[in-house]
Amino acid sequence: MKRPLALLSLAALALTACQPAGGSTIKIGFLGPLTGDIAALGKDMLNGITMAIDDVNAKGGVSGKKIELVTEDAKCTGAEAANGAQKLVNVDKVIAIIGGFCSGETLAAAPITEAGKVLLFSPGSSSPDVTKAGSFVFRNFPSDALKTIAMAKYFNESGYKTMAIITENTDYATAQRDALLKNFGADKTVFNEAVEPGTKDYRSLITRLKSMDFDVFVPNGQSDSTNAAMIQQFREAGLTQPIVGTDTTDSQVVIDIAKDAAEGVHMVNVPTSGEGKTFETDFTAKYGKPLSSIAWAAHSYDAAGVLIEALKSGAVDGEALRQYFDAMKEYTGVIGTFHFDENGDVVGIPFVLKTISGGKISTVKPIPID
Amino acid sequence: MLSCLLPTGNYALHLLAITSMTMVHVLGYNVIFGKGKILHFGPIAVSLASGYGTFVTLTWTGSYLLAVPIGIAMAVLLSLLFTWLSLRLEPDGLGILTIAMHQIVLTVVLNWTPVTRGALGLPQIPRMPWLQSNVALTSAVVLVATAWFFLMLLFERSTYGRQLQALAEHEWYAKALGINRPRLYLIAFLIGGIGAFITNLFYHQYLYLVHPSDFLFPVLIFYVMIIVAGKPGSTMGVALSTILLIFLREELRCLPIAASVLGPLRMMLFGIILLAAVWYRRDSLFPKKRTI
Repeated sequence: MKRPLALLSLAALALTACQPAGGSTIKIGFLGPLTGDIAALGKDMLNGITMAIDDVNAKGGVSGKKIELVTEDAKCTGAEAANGAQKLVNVDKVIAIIGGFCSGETLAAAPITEAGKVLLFSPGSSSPDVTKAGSFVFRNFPSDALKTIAMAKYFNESGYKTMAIITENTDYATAQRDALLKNFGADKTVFNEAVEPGTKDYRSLITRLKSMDFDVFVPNGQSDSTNAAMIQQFREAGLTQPIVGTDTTDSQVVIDIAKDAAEGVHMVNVPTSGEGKTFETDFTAKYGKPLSSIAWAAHSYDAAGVLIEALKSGAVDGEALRQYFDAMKEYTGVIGTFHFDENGDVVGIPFVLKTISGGKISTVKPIPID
Repeated sequence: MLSCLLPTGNYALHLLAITSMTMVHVLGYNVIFGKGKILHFGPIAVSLASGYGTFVTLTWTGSYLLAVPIGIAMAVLLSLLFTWLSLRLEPDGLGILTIAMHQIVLTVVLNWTPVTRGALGLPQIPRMPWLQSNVALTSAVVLVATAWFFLMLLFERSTYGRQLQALAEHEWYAKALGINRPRLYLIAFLIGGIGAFITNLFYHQYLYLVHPSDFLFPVLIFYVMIIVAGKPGSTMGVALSTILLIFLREELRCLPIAASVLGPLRMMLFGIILLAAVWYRRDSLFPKKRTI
């Protein structure tokens, strides 16, 4: 009888044991899609973060400690994000996690980081749901609610009265469509179709579009390759209406796949972060051309950058980091100067109109929103 | 690395929770796919229907008293449909149709946005009052999984279990002996459906989230792999296989391998395990009917 009891006690002890924190390094976690459909975006994110951490480690780290990045693949699913977050919080004892990218990842990881008082900083989640995800959740990527205000403003300024939109049925694209319909007007949306995730053949939908009267087309896919296919098939069908995309159209992949069809496509996004500046040059020298867009790398670079600033200020745990971000006046990074509101949403990131011209993405003009 | 390979504290609790939750559904599915050797590939469709049935009702009414019966009803309804299909279709036809059913239910969930919120999922799922902490939820799910395991063990050794096995192995002989195929298939599918409901009831409270990305085909492949590796139809084997494969899946994270390499590596390793298990059981996985 004594032996089973002793074993049970040992098991109970093991279950409630705590790992010692601290050590010679400061551990930060990465949680994002490193495999799956949008792995290219996740790898750009990871490279951006690694670059920022390598920079600070090369200068001696923070308070004499090197920063160690522990990476977990969340595959853009809630279940994998929860598993990864559990390990980062409870085994690796990170004080902050940069991620997730997909909103489903961030929403699944948030309750775990809240319970562990670990800061969760998303450089890519744009769903309005993330706003209410928790007090330890911050993001430097604007909510779709803001981005689509900028889009609606541009449409109105350009005299576009009606819109056609094709949406890939994912959390990111659906949230974006809903916000755009709200801000531009559902009544002005003459064509609004959703396709299953991963669809690459839009010809039947585009055939229907040919018989419709609309002023602007919005390719609203989860990934750049999806948007590239939509754009290519839209132009292939002889449709000449302007095309205006968002973040996932702001990608080299769109140019590589759609080629000439991508010429003249516009995007409303945050500024082409660091394009032509030192960041892009340094990033390309170290990792080669971004797999999707320099924007994701830049958002992630700044997420790591602002975190490093907080660590330099003396924040040593998730609670102190949270207080730092709550009180932070502003941070100037590659993507601009920003701070956070009471919900952890970014404030101050401007939106710009970009275009693809001569096989390159360039900024046309800012779109200021109130 | 050692602290990761020998999990302690909250991480051990997490592994215990996800293993127990998965085990309930897999053991239920094992009755259909393993014991009954019915080519049913729609367990995730039942998960979707019961999970969304429960938590959409909860989101709209705020009451688990209403949400739980709706979730059970959805699981039972879909199980009845699958039973009906299994009695009317040849095994290959059933296999294809159950995959189609999974896709249909997923499409409904993704596109019925006013009710399900589509691809956005249902965030901030509130937990039952007595399951607020992870310790309480894990304890509850371990108890339920243990009870379910013994129930499945009883079923395996019961008259029904033996009759189901007899039907799977020699359908004509079993029928000639008076075994009631519709009744047994109904029981098997209902067990599978209730298993799916229990798993989903706990899992989404644990995550505080219901998201369609967690109901895709890779989940089904993982379940099939657990059953094949554990020996189809064996409650003990499948339970052990659930524990081992979930621990393997999660503990691989502890190896000093880049996460971007680990993802594909893990898929390849699981593929090899599945291949090895199928090869090892090549004569017993789906035995040929004896001929005279």
